[in-house]
Amino acid sequence: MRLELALKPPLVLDDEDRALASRLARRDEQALVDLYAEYGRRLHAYALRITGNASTAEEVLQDTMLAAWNGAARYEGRSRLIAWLLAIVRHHALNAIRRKRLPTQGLDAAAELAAADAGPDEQLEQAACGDNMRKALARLSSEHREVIDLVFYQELTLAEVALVCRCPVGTVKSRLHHAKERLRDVLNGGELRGRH
Amino acid sequence: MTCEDRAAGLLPFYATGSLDERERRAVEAHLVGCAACRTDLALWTSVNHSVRGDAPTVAPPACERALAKTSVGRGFSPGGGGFSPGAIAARSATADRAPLHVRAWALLVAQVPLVGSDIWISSAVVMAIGYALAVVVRQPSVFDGVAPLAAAGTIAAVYRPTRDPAFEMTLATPTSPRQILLARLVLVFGYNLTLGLVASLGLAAVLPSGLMGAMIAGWLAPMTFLSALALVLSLVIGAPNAMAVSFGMWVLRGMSAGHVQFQGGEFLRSAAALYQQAWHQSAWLVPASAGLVAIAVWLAGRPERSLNAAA
Repeated sequence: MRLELALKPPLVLDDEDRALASRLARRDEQALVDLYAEYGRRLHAYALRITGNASTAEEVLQDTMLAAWNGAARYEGRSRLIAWLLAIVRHHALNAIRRKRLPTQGLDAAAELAAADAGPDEQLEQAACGDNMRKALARLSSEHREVIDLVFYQELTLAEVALVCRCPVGTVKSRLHHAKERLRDVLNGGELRGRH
Repeated sequence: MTCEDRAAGLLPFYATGSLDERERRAVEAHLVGCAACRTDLALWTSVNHSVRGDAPTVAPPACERALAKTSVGRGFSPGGGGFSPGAIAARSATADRAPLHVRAWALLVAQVPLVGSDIWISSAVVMAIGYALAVVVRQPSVFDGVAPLAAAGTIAAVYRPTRDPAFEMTLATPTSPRQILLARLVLVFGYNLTLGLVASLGLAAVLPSGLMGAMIAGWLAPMTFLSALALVLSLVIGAPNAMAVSFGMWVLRGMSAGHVQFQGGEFLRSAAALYQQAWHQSAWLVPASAGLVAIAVWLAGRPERSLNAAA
């Protein structure tokens, strides 16, 4: 008779993610397609954030989908599906950086891609609104920029950011605090004046 | 001007709407009276708009084209929102194949932050207490009684997939649960072993009758066996229960050393003596430890409860 294991923390999935994860665990190939449709864009953006290289980011995305497919049976829903996937992305992206000896990148690569995707009107709007903030964000270190990305683009909770980055919650708060101070210094200190 | 209130650290998440109801109310209550945080919130709101405004609105076409290149056997429909799961399954053989020692080292390094600082700290504290007591009473055997407890207690807590949300993220990487178990075992046992050796070196230097080799022999084999036992038990009955059983067995060993007079006849006294002596017989402790570790590795590789089973 199997002995009872220690009490487990509650599952945190919503119903849609739970259904999707269950289908993946049952090797439902359509579930993999649906997973890509739901999260592919966000995962790719995060991979691009870390690697700064478009083709490498695509490879990382493929590796992530493969890992999700192979690892679905062991996923128990202790974290949200997006947080689980982002942690996988981070693992493969950092491996790719080490393997290919890529330099770490900031906002610029992702911003250029986004601008290329936008139409003329959207580009003008981007130029008019928050352009200084965008440039200030580009001044952040890759470490700070990653945390900003996870909080504001991926919309993870504090605990999830800590899990994905494999650091304590206090470290996440510290990085956000320093990022804020750096942004404030850049925006108030005139570093952006005179730039074209 | 900076705010030291806990709410200040939650402002970015308030700006994105990621807080739960309780936290959101707490932050809003704090904002009423804190101008510094209201200023910070304005900054975070601007960051939020800027980051989301820069985000790609559609999946980059280049990404889907790259996925199309990996299709094998099944078709791929660009723009159809799909790619080939068959191709994904076929790719598993082409995963990163760095040299074994490189992968092993990377795995060890990756596990260090996941083991938990409480394990490193608690082991060091207990070892330090054992060392101090041994020096004060001038008896190396006091450390012999403490070192195995420190190691067993931390080993029992080293592999806890059901209580470690980060664990399932680790499992999603190309690393088997058995490899994770072995890596953590090597790390924590190696750490405890190092602490023990350092303490024994210190005792040999301080105590006049201290022979380092004899000191190490007093705790090494028992520590190895007790740690292996605690590991296996943790996988079956959970870490807290494993610690309790391991500690109980170790305390019983101390009682059997003759410091407690057993009532109940010659048989019980003989059994107590044998039990105490067994803990100093390296000839069986070491192979028994190896056997227990093998059992633990096997247990770690069993299929765990999944959403598939729960659905």
